Amino acid sequence: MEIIELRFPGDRPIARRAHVGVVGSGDLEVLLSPAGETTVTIRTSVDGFGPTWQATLARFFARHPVAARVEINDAGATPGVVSLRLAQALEGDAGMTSAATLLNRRSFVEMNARERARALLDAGSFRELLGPFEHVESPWLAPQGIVPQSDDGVVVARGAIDGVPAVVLAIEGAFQGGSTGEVSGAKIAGSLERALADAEAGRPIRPVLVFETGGVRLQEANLGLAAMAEIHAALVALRRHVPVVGVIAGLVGCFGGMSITAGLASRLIMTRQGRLGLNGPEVIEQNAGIAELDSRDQALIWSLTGGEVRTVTGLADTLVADDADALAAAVRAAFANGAPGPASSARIDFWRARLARLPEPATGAALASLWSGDRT
Amino acid sequence: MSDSVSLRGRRWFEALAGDAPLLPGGPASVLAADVPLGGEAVRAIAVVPDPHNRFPRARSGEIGLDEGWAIAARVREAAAVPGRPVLAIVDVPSQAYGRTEELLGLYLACAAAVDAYASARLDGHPVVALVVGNALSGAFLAHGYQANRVLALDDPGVSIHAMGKAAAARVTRRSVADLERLGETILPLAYDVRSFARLGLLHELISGVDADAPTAADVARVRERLAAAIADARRGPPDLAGRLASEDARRNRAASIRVREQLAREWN
Repeated sequence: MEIIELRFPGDRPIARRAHVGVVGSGDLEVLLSPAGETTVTIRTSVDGFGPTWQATLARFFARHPVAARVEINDAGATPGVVSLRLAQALEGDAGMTSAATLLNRRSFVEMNARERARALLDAGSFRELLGPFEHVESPWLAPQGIVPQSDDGVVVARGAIDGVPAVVLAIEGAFQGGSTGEVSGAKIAGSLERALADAEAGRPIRPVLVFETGGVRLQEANLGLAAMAEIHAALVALRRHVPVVGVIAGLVGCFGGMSITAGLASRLIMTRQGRLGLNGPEVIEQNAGIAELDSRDQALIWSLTGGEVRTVTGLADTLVADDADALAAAVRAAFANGAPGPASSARIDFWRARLARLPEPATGAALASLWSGDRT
Repeated sequence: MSDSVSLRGRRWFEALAGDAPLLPGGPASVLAADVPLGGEAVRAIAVVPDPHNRFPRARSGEIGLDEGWAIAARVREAAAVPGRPVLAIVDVPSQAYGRTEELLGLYLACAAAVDAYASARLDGHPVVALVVGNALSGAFLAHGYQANRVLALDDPGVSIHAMGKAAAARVTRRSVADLERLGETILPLAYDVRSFARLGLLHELISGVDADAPTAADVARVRERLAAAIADARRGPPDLAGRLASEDARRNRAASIRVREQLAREWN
């Protein structure tokens, strides 16, 4: 990781802060704040490109002589992508919010975490907590030479769902695979704890988790695992008062300790693209061999852990098309249906009876037929 | 990581259970007994290797489908008796890595165990975990990490971690030596239990006992510490707030605390 500080002349102050992009492969995160002069701090995963940054940004700020504080967290973006992201950030300043972009992009899977949270909340109610400009980022990544992201990959959004106070916790899969670190995990656990305090005090709250993660972030290992246990604890406590709804849309899916979180949710909504499992396919192949599971066999992976087989077998509740409105409607319906019966994770006799016989062969199709008709 | 099968879980279960009969019903990989401790019956649960396990990927003491659901059943059974403490004896190398396990919902079996432990804790049952060997990854989440009080033996063979060393090296494409070196400077990456204790997540590190072959005095001492932890859990809240309260936590989990403080300020 390299840190580069640059300065450019510019006298057109920007009106408001702007935040675009993600610290994901080939992309970058840009934070713009009003300032008297233009200073740029770049943290990049690729060392030795100082002159390229200097040239690219000099060209950009010659064309747009704004005065702004610019923070860039980069994961190997090309100069073209850098200019594009900066232009996007300035575009927001001109009042052209990302709503214009959203209009032609209704795929929920393609949305980033912030757009997803916004799409699930009532229009105009989105309010972010611990947002990018508060800079609560992982303290453990930079010492390992890894570029952190200003929100650590979790968006905490308050707002309303059908007029009822809500909190959406959306994981950004493009940053470090959506992994749970100390900060991203504490944002989820801490929010569930606040929601629990509301519920205990009789204040209505609708909690939604939008999963997109491989599980614990191995670069923060034990603090990620500790946060996961605290997420589980808060979720089990909260679920006694109000339904907690989980959404697994794709592309990363929901794996590792976070799949246990999904297993604790009151209701689980998936798309066909979504996948849900404890061990990711690569982890199984690496630990048990390619004969156990070929992680490159995408069709096989989806047939074992995809949204379709999960809902057909009753492991997830609702299968929804990849459309932001359809997802939002499914989340609303999950709350409107009121308190669900006993959670799946508490129906021990039911699931043990199901596991008494195993599907032959171990395929999604065989399981769907074995487990059909025994729902209660 | 599960190349060698560990006997510690079974050894400590048998040592602590003494004459208390093993509860019938199996599976053979999940031992349970109601053990007299501190003047009351404590439900002790251990997951142990079973070479005949019907799931080949769960024969070395891993948490598989049958283990997750069996833990859940044993905890809920005990929680039917008001106030009965639950003791998880922890020596688990990992969750089971298998295709059949994923298809049949291993994540839900683990969630069932988590749910049972957390629910017992919320209902006022002291839940105590004693780590005598490995406490790794999803296996520890399912068996032990929901305890109000986590105790561990201070022994080089005790390791609490997000992923076993060999597996973590494979997944992160680092060498085992690199991982060990990183653990010396980045505290949450360390594999030894003394470093783990500095994160403020342990209630107590028990020193001076032979983890592999405990003497009668060792067992008596551990029983006494467990009884004290159960009494301490009864005095505290039923949540996990204690894990953020210690001096170590304030130093080494500062971000976890700061995030919660900021959320509280911005919530409404």
